[in-house]
Amino acid sequence: MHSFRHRLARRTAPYALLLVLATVQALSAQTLKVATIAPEGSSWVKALRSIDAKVQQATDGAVQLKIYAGGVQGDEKVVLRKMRIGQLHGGGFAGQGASIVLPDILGLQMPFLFDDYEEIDCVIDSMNTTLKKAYQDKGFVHLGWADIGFVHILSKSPINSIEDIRRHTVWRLEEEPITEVLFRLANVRSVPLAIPDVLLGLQTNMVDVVYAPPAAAIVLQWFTRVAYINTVPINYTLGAFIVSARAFAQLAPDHQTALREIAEKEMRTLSLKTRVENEEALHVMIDNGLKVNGLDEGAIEAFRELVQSTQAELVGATIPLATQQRIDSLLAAFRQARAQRRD
Amino acid sequence: MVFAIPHRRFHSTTQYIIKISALCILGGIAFSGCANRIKISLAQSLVADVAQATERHDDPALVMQSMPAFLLLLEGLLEENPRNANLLLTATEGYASYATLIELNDRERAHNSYGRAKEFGLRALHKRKKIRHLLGAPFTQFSTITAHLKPKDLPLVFWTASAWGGWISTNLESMAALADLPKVIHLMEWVIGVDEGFKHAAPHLFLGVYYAALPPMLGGQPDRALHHFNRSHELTNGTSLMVHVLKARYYARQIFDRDLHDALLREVLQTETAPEASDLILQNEMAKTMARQLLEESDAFF
Repeated sequence: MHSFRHRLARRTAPYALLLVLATVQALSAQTLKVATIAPEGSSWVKALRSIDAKVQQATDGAVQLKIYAGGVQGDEKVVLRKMRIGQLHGGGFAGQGASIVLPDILGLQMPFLFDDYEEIDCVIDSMNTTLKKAYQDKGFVHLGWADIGFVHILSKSPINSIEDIRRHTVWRLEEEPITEVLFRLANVRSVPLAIPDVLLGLQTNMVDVVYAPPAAAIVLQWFTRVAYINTVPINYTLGAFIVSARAFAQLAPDHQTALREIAEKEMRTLSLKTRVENEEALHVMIDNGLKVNGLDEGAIEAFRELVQSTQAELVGATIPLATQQRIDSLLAAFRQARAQRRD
Repeated sequence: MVFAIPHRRFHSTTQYIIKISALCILGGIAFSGCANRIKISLAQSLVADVAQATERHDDPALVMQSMPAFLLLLEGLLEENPRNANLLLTATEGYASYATLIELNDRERAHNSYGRAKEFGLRALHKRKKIRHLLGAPFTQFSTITAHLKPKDLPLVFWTASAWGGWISTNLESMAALADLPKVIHLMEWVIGVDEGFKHAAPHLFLGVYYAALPPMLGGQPDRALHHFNRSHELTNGTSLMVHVLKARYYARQIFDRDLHDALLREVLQTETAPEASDLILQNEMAKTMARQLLEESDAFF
């Protein structure tokens, strides 16, 4: 009996050691707590889960993400606050979070700045290093961009010009600096509302013009309370996956590299997917009875002039001057190069 | 929300067959048509019996494994009788219930089953002339549908909306699916208005999940969700354990209240199905399975 037990112990010892090692590794696994308002099952959360799976694989389980989906940790401002006090380590920001941390992002979201994704990709690629460093200076590590999409005007009656807009009451996102200045200078009557209150605002005719990326207009059900969608994109909006620099610094250097590379790639995939979803959403809304209208070239020019006048107030105060100049010059250079390529 | 036929349609199968056969002979109806009707009647009787047995069964795994065969039988009957209203309702209910049973473990198959259920339900609604043109219409027009619905439509509307909602919630990446959500909610609000206690207050459970599952930023309303869960609890006198499970899974998680979450689930595990609630045996067993799983996930979630 004794010898049997002895033999058994000898045979199982290596496995027991493995088990102990595995336990130690599991205990020492570093968990990054990441929150997002995007619901479980959405493309955003799927992207974060994919990052988690791949990072676990690349680091042999040493690093993992704990994902809080569906806004259970609060809205993006709350998530940022929790990140600052170390209660959370990261956020998948699909709303204003990315620009609250770094107002430079607002420069990329100015109305009538970008015409298409090619322009956006070129400008953001060129500014990537600078912007990542700017996030770092604020105490955050930027792990990837994610499109929210081009914003479109949705309205109860057709909007073809600034005069049309002036005849209506327009929704304005609370505490969003660009629209506040823009509508004031354009003499547009606007009502500030938080996003969850907009649907009721449309139902009660408190507002009759709103704007959103197409996918958001479906998720928020705003499309059920308007009759028109304008096909001219107003402005581009951008989200990001950000973690606190303090939490990131706790990771081993090769794990940091793995997380950066994996996240960057997955977030790019998410962006491309969001572009497809927004395109699909636009068609779905049209299929659901929304009538399409556009802006004539004169109207777009008038809008552009208005935006110019808002820049005088915003740039330097809200958006850093150097950032806006960089965006403008990169975009101008890209457009020129593209025009030459086409010639 | 587990498979069941709302009402048994006749007392004894034999009696019914004799009656039908006699009518067929007396009326001189062609034999083939008569045989077909007898086949449907027999099948429907079987469906009703199996449905009731299912509701009262205490082994969800067994029911889960045997339901596909049953659904295939229904499909077979529908092949021959694609527009039979009762068969369509039974298929809607059957596939939607099956999807609910398997959703936790096999989301993709659940999505397909919800999709089939939705198609059968819409096919049944499509038979109605006044409703037909509204089904695919934009929301504003669609919302007038309730003016044409009658109380007797309630089971069909409930099961169609349930299936449609399940189909959307298992397919959140599809914009076309998400765009249908306001329609589903509109139908379910109508159901609540007509009979809020239908199927053990299931319409309240449905809306409770809906208002709790969405983050407040995206239109979720935790307070409204709480009202629906509490009303569901009241209407079932606390006999439906699924109320607690879904309240924990959606409401407690959304408001990030672990104490409430775990307390609700523990209560479910400690509660036996009341004798007067024999129709809830299977659903309550399911609720217990889900409660165990959700409790295990509690550490990971909070």
